[in-house]
Amino acid sequence: MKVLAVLLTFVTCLSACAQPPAPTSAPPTATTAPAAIIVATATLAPAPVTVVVTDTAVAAPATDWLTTVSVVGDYYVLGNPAAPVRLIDYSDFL
Amino acid sequence: MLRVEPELKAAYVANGTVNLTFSHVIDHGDASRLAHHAAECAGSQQPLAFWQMHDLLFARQAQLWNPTPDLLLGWAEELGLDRQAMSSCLTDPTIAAKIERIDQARRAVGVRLRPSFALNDTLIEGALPYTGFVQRLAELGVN
Repeated sequence: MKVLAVLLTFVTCLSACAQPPAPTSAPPTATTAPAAIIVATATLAPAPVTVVVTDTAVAAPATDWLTTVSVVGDYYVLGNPAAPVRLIDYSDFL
Repeated sequence: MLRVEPELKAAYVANGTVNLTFSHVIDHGDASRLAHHAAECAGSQQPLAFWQMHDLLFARQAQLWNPTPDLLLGWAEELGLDRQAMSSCLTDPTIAAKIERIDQARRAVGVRLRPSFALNDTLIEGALPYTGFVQRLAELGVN
């Protein structure tokens, strides 16, 4: 009788232990889908703009108007061709 | 030449508020023509060289009363210009015609005296000190 009880317990254990363990985490679809949305949202949102000021970015080279010559009609014009004032010197070299 | 040109260049041309044009005036016959021709030929090689030759011609004005092509060819070489091209240019009739055209243009606008200059469309005859230019330019809104 005692042997029969042990055998019954063993058989019960075999059927119970054959069950897969209960899931301890959320199904894969539940974790994957929201993650994809978050990533997409992060990608579409405007990225924060960081302006890095350096010497090279600020110091654009100034035009050297004293070495800038434009040909306007028959004349060689020294300086900024868009200057607000045009000075004409009428001269002989002698 | 405007006596105050160096000051005007430093104060106004350098900062881009004024640009400078030189207009040929032939007052001394062939000597004048050859000097103007040299400036034009320098400019035909490099536009900036027009102004470099302009400065040289005024700086050595005393040598221009009896100029020779060889003298001017030497000056062109000093500026790093091509002597052969300069030599050909000095006899180029199209350059001679251009100089005559510019001289005629100044007569057409009424320039009779030297020195004369124009600030935009205002013709001013006679010398003007630097302070006079400063005042005229201020009237045009340039400081």
